[in-house]
Order: sequence, then structure tokens, then C-alpha cells
Amino acid sequence: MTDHSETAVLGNEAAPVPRHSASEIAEHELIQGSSLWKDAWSRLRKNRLAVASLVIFLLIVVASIVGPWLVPYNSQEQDLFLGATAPSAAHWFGTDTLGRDLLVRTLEGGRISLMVGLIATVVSLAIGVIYGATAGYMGGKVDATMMRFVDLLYALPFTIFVILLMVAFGRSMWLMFVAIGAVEWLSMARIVRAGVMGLKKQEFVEAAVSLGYSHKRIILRHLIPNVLGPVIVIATLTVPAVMLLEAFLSFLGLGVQPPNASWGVLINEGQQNMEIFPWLLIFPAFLFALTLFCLNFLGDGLRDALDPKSAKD
Amino acid sequence: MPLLEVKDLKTSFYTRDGVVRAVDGVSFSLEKGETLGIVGESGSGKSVTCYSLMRLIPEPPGRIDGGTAMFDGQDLLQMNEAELRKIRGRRVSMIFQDPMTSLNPYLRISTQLIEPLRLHFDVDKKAALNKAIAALEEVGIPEASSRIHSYPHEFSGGMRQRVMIAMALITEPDLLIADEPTTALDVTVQAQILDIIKKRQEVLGTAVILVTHDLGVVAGNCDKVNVMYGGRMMESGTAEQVFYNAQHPYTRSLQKTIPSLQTKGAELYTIPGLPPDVSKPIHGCAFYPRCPYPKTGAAEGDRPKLVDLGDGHCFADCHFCDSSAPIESVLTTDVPVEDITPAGAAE
Amino acid sequence: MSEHHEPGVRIDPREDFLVLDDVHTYFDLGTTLFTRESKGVVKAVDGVTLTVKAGEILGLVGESGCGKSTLSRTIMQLIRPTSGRIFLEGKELSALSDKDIRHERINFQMIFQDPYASLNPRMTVLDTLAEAIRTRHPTAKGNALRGRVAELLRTVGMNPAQMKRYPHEFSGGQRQRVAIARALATEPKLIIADEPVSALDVSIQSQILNLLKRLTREMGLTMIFISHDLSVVRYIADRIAVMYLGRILELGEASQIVDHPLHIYTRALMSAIPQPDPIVERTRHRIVLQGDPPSPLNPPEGCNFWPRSPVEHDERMKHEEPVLTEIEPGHYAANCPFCLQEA
Repeated sequence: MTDHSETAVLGNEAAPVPRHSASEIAEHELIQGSSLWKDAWSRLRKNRLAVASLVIFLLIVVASIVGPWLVPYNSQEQDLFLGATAPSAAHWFGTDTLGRDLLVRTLEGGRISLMVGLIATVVSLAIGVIYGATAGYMGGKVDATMMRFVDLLYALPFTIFVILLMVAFGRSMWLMFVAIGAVEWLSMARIVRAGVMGLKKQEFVEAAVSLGYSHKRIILRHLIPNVLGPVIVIATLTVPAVMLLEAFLSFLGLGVQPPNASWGVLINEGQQNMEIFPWLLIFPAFLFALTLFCLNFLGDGLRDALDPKSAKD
Repeated sequence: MPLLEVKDLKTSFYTRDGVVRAVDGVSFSLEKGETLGIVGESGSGKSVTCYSLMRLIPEPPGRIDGGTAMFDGQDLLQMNEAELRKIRGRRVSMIFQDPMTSLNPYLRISTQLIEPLRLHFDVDKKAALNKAIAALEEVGIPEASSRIHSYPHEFSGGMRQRVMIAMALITEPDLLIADEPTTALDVTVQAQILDIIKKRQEVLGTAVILVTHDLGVVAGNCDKVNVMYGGRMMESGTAEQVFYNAQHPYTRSLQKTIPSLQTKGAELYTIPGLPPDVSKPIHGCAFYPRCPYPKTGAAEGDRPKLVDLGDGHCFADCHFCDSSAPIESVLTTDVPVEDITPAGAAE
Repeated sequence: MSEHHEPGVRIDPREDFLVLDDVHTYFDLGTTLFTRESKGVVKAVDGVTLTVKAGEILGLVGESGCGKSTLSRTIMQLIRPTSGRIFLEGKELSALSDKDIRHERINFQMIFQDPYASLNPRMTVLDTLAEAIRTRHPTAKGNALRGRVAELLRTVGMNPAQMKRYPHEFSGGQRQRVAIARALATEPKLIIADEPVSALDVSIQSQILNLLKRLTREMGLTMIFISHDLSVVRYIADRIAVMYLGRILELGEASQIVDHPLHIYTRALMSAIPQPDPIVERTRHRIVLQGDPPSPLNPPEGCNFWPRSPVEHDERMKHEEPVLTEIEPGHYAANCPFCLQEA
């Protein structure tokens, strides 16, 4: 070994942050706050499973949005003489008992399911993370008050809550978002709060306080990025939970109304005729499962990508 | 025949980042009633040596790659799980660094103390309890007969470490391995704990392996010393030999960096650079990049051989530097810019 | 033994750089849920009066639970004192509102014990230091900001080319250097170092100690250096304060404390430090203390050292609190006749 430093540098070549010379650093624009996400993205790109999941997921999203226009059938157009037929060249996914094309119904169902799943998750993420982090960081009476409010909402029986909403405001898709949003952020808030309470005792948070940073800055820059790992895993689990909840609400009559359909509704219908017309269950269920797999792998990939420590291969 | 004779012990961890040669060729022997100190910094392999002897290395990723450890005629490294269970806690016991986490918080002290007795000896509960109380009294816990029914959290750190010692010694083992037993404790308590280990050792005739990073602890408590660095042995011998006639540059540097040895006001002697990265192959001498002596050649090829001065005092005879040169002439007083990329960058 | 000395430490809030005037920090554990009995009060800091001169390094020594960390956080105003006043350059920190204290904080910074916990794992060294620099220079950006980060890293002996790395890519010693750089980034006047080397290896300890000592001198900083290790403090400090159960038992020049300690606790502390010399170690006389340091929850009354002291105390000193008294010029000790007895 002639030069220790040389071998050491070579050994670290694969590290996420490459070694820059001083001049390179000077050229590199310093973007405050975004470097975590930028670095995370470059790490995520190296994770093949996550990238494949992302591509498939985006394909499903695009197909759900533009697909219904490309299929030469209308999702509501019935053909009672045709009835339920197995997949064929004319109807790739087959038709349902009313003779409607299943492909176009599944794609349109995807629009609703994905919209509900993603919007409700993003909303619950935003509220839950900020609410939980604030409660955990402030502690004491603020925390106690904020968390009692969460407990209160937890204690509310969901079905009764939904029925009350229906009675008060009538049926509407937006009520469904409200109902789901009101429920889903609660667990998120609890998990984030627990994480923040643990982190708060760490010295880097004390250091941030002693540097005179504002509460907002400490919460946003020092605490939340460090709880993102569990948050993202929970978020990927929230999406399917929300989609199933939507099916349940639709069943109660609050969500999607016939003749419109979502994946949850289609799966529900398909399951009733599963022995006779299995394709009615298989296709929507397959797409639903595929989406969930993609989101799970993507979530795992994101969690690893956001943790600078994990990127060591 | 010595009680324990370790020859060329090699333990590695096969991680996805490469092979970490945590212990790379360690040999020593220990007589009944003797105390061996293993000194080294973090990553020097001193703890892994002990865990290997107790066969507590998680496999995988760890693996004992070679060597023998003859304990009373049997090779500890070749034993199967059933044989090990008969030895562990009965003939070889271990004390860990952190007394706060090495006792089960949900069980009473009495339950935890009686367990090894009931496991290894045919005693009834009553007799075991009496023996446990006696063991606590021997390590200086007042009102042992009532306090034995407490839970660990009702004891302070020093008291818990006493309980750990009582527990480790209750079966009167032949060998006690103490892995940094006082590092987590205050100095005044450290002195007490070391005294207790020494006293019990005299009574029971137990051999002790004392792992520590503190040369002071070694000086006062050990008959023999083994200095480790980068998973390898740098120097070994009696305490007097190693402290008063240190041969290896690392031992000498270590002695000089300790604040209490300094004349006041002078700049502290500094070993430049960082400990070696054992996940990379080390050519020649492990200490070469930090060695303060004038270099006589590049460190490559085989590692320095352990040379015996004739009286049991061994050291890795490095031929890459001139260790007869006066060290002061190359003393760097200022902190260098660390161009040597860290060792354990990732722990 | 010293009735002719005037008790107490002389302080002058307007003149001295940092003044602690009878500072108490208590933690009330509250009451039990149903019976409303008090769970007790932890007297972590129990009446500390101290001055620190500009440009000096004051070493604060004590065992775990002695309140040294709480005292440091009280000076930092991370914890507000229960009573007593703290002045920095004549300004009373303890009287400032939370909001004002935030702006004042850039003048006093802290270096923490655990370099593995004191840096935000999700921020690069560059981000960490840039954020800290902006507390002093809010408009700094671009090349000037990066240049300053590079300069700070060079100051602490790090390679500026490593600024885009994350904390986990560094060893403990290097992380501690980054933490030191962060503390320096706000251009503070006072630095409180809370056990900055106790988590580091021996060979790295000396590097960090030398660095801290050099920086303090070169930059004209004032430092409070907290450690449980008297031999480390002896090397770096100009003056040493020995703390026990929330109070200062002895205070003086480093040489006074080390060469002829007055209080029996200081002497015991000194004698407990293992010396790396087999013959010295085997033959020397050690003052053995009884038991562990008692808990600051319901500490003993009077001379709080009596339960562990090898010298029996009388009833009076078990109830009467000894006062820190100037025994010889600049050398103070808690005036308990039993603790000050010659060996």
C-alpha cells in the first residue's frame, strides 16, 4: 500500500455523494433544503425494483386517464342481449352481466380509485405529519390538547359519522373525501408524533435550538425529514386502505353511484359472480393488486432513498 | 498447560460492503487466576475476540475463520451448541459494558441470579436463593436479603454492575470475560468495581480477561497485556514489559497521547489520522499510515511478524519504519488536515 | 479552619464576562395521579455562583448526576433556571423572553457529547454549516457562503472537499470536528463543550483537545469545558470547578486544584483516576468513597457529600449547608471542616 488516502477514496467511490474538488463545489449551485430530495431521487434511480414499480404505476395512471377515450365502447352502454362474455378480441376484458365492456369500466374505475386513494393519502399525509410533528415537538399542554382531539375523532364510529354526514349534506363525492380524510390522518399524526418525541431528545435538535432556529424551521428541516421513513411506509399502506374504504362507502351509497364504478365497486360486483364469470373479478382485482404492489415497492424504495445511510452499495 | 490458549484466532464479518476482518490472527495464553488485559480503540477487535471465545458472534454475517482456543483441553471454537451451553455461564462467564441494558428489566434480580444456578447445578430454589444472597453480599450490596427481590431499575448503574459480577461469578467459573466493565461508570465507582473483581478473583482463583480502552485500568489490574490495533496484535507481554519497555510504535504513541502523562501546559501528543478501515485489506503494518517514526519503506506485502524478545514479550516487528529513531523529532504538534478518508465511515 | 475568610464567590455582573448568580435549576416531577402526593423535586443545579473571565477555559468536573449537563443547558438557556440570574457581558440572559433569547443565542454555542447524535443525519455538512452561518449572516449565499463553509472546515482540520457528505460518512472524531465547526459558524463569544471527547477513542481525543485549545486561544473565545475526566480537564482548563450534586465543592486555578486539592471529594476523584503505570497503580493509596453518587432527587441535607465521605460528619454539618469560601487567593472550597481535613 503506497498511499492510504488513495485506496480509501477509491473505496468510497460508490458513496451517494461523490467527492468534489473545491472548484467543482463552487460551481455547484447551493439549493437550500432541496438537496435531500435531489439526493433521494438520484438514489431512487439506482433501485431497479422501485423504478420498475414507478413506471408500471405511471402506466396504470396514464391508461386510466386516457384509456377510456381510446376504447371504442362507452362504459355505460348496455347490451343486455350480449350479457356477460369471456374476454375476446372485441372485448379484451370481457363484458359484465349487463353487457358493458369491462376494459373501459375498469379503466374508468381506476380514475376514481386512484384519485380517491392519492388525494386522500396526500391530504392525510399533509395534515397528519404537520399536526403530529407540532404536537410532538411542542409537548406539554399543547401536545395533550392536540392529541385528545385526535382521540376524540378516533372514538367516533366511522359508519355513524358517514351517515350523519349524509343526512346533513346529502350524497356527494366530496363528502367521501372529507369522511376518508378525517379518518386517515389520525394514525399518521400519532406515528409522526411518536417519532418526533423520540427525535426531540437527540442532541442535533438541541443544537438547532441553541443555534436560535425558529420552531417552524426545526420542525420542517430537522424533525420531519428524520421521520419520513415510517411516514412513507404508512402512506403506501394508506392508499389501499383508502381505496377499500371507498368501496365500503360506495356500498353504503355515499361514494360512487351506479352506473359509475371504481375498482372497489367492480371487485365487489365481480366477487358476487366469481364462480360463473371469474374475469369480472380477476381483471379489476389484478389491476388493484398491481397498483398496490407498485406502491409498496415504491414506498420501500423511497424510504431507503430518503435515508442517506442506506445508500451504501 | 494453561487454562486458555488461543492461537491465531481469525473472525470476519461478511457484509455486503465487503469482508470486515475484525480479528486477524490473535494469540495469547492465560493461566488459572491470571488477568489478561486486552487494550485497543474501537474497531481494534478487542470485543470481537471475546465474543468469539464465547461463540456469541452472530453467524451470519460473522464467521470464525480459523484458529484454536483450547480451554482446559477442549477447543471452544469447535464445540457444538450443546457443549457450549454447558460451558457458558458455568465455566466461562461474561460481563458486558452497559449494566443498564444487560439485565432483563422485567425480571427481579433474584430470578435472574438464581437462573444460572438452577441451570447448571442441581439445587432447590431455597438453596439457590441463599447462595444468590451471599453472592450479592460478596460484591458489596448492602441489605442483600431484601434488595434481591428488587427490579433492575431500582438499582444505580454501579449497583447493577455489581449484580452482573455476582451473576457472572455465582457459578464459580474458571474464566471471566469482562468487556469494558467500567466504561459506562463514574471513576469513583469504577475503582470500586475493579476492586471487587480483583477480590473475587483472588478468592475464587478465576482467570480474567479484561477488555478496555483505558491503559490506566490495565496498569492497575492486569498481569499480562495484549495491545490490539486494526484486528491484529501489536504487542503483548507482562504489564511491566509493555508499559516500561514498549516496543511497538502504536503502544508508544498511545502512551504518549494520554492527557494525564503530559507535563502541564504542553501540547498533547497526537496520533495523526484515523483508525484503519478493517473492511479493506491492510497491507503490511496496520499502523503504518499513522506511524510517527521515519518510514524506511512502503508498507506492502506480508504483515510484520510477531517477535519474541525472549522473555514472553512479543511485538509486531515492523520493518517499514525506524522505531529506534527518537519519536520527538517527528512529533506533529498541530492537527493535520485529514486526507485519510475515514475508517469506519459507515459503522 | 478558615473563619477569617469571607464566604461566597465575589461576582460583578457588569465587569465579568459570564456570571452565574445563585443559579438553581429544579425539575418538579409533578404529583401522583390520584393521591396528589408530590413525586419529588430533582435539584439538578442547587445554588451555583460562578464567574468566567473573558478568554479563559473553565473546566467543570463531576460525576454523572452532579448537574454539570443541566448547568450547561441552563447557561445556554435551553432550560430556564428556577431561580438565580445569569449574565453574559452584563446582559441578563435569564431575564430575556424566549423570543429575545433566540436572537441572543448566536453569541453562545454548545458542543455536544455524542457526535453520532448531534448532527442531523439527513443534512450534508454543507447544509448544516450553511444554516448555522446564516444565523449571523442571514443574506449570505452562493459562493461567499460556500467559501465560509470551506474556511470553517479548514479551521477544524477537515478537508473542504468533503462538505457534500452526510454525517454517517464520517468517523466519530470527524463528526465532532463538524460539530465544532457548526458552533463556530455563528461567531460566538462563549462555547460550552459538554463532554466533547468522552465518546471518542483515546488517539482521537487528543486531536480534538488540541484543536479546542488552539481555537479558543486563536479566536479569543471563552469556553466552559465539561467532563467527568479530571485528567482531560487538567490539560485544557485554566480554572477548574468541581461539582457534586448540583453544587460547586471546589473552584480554583487548574494547578491549585490538581496539585493541592482541598476538598476530600476532589482528592478522591483524583485518586480514582487510573494511572497508566503498573507500579504507581499497584502501590498508591486510594481514597475509597462509599457507594454511588446519590440521586439529585431528594439529595442529602447539609454538606451534601457526607453520606459518601470517608470522614464522619457531625450532626451540624449534616444539616448546615457549607458555603463556598476563598481558602487561599482564587481557590475556593465548600467550607465543611470534615471535608477539608488534611489526609
